[in-house]
Amino acid sequence: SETENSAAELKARLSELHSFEAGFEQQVTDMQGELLQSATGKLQLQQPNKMRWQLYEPDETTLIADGDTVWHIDPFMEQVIAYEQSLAVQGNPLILLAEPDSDHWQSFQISQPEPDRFVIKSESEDSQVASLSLTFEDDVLVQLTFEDRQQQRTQMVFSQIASNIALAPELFEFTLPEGYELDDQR
Amino acid sequence: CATRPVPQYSVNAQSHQKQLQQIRNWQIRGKLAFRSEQDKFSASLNWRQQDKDFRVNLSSFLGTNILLLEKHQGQVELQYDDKLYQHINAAALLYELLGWTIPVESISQWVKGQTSAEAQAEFSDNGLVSRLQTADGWVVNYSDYRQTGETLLPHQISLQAGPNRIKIRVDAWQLN
Repeated sequence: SETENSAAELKARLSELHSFEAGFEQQVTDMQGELLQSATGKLQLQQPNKMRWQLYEPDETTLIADGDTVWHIDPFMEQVIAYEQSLAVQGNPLILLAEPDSDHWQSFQISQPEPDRFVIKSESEDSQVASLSLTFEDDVLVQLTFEDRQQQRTQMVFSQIASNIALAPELFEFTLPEGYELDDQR
Repeated sequence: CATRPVPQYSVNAQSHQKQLQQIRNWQIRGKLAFRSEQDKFSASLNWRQQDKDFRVNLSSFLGTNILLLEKHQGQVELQYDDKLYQHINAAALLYELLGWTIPVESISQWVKGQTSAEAQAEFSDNGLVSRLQTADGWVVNYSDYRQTGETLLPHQISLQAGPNRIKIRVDAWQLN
């Protein structure tokens, strides 16, 4: 069906990305289009299931998916929350980006409204992200947009994009920062 | 002769407080953290105040909405977990529903560093409020005052009452 080949097409494109690194501008708007938050950051993906998502000024939050655990590092609270990665994917299709060949894809509906744009819809009620849209330009992932069920939208536009370069393994390894509390929800 | 280093900002307390009272429409983009004995969370904060009405949006760092708390002509509405709740008092609604002790109505005034009748204010020697203490036990500390338009507004506000602690970091003030 339409979903199957768009899913296959998207997974094919993502699996060509053995690794991916880019800076991003992130803008969050509410359902009236009012700007709620704007930040800059960096996203790094490493096959088969590793991801690092770091927000810089002013937010300084980091998410590390090391394949087993998703570590949410929050300097403002001086706290780290640990989630089981396989469970985290249900609530957050972003982590799917790092897992092109994982069987988590079944619980999402994938469509391809345009040749270079894919939309991943989450079927589970408790998913934070209702839909995630990926935009490519000649096979390079250039934009990510996702929406929650209150039509709040986050748009991430990538820059300095590098695919299939060697990424240091330490990027995806977590150590508890000095003085931080760990809230282990695994 | 040697001059004493002038503090970075120095204002006349009365005229600064008058300026703050005139600021009735403002918006904050920043971060809020809440800690109590049972809960602790932090969220991206967007607070829009128009006179007595407000619209407080808490979102995750990814940008997904956690809650939207609005007050319009005396009626308070909360959108949380895809459900809509109504009340006449925002702080009571948050407490009854989520067990969070967040004095929303008072914060809309305190956050500017403005004194109020029922709060005892301490001024630092540059004329800016450094601490407020209220009869019902809230202690509010201010720091990181910065020039915003023609006035000085705090960018770090921490509130404490017993085990409840709230920290607000303002990344951007918008005065309209």
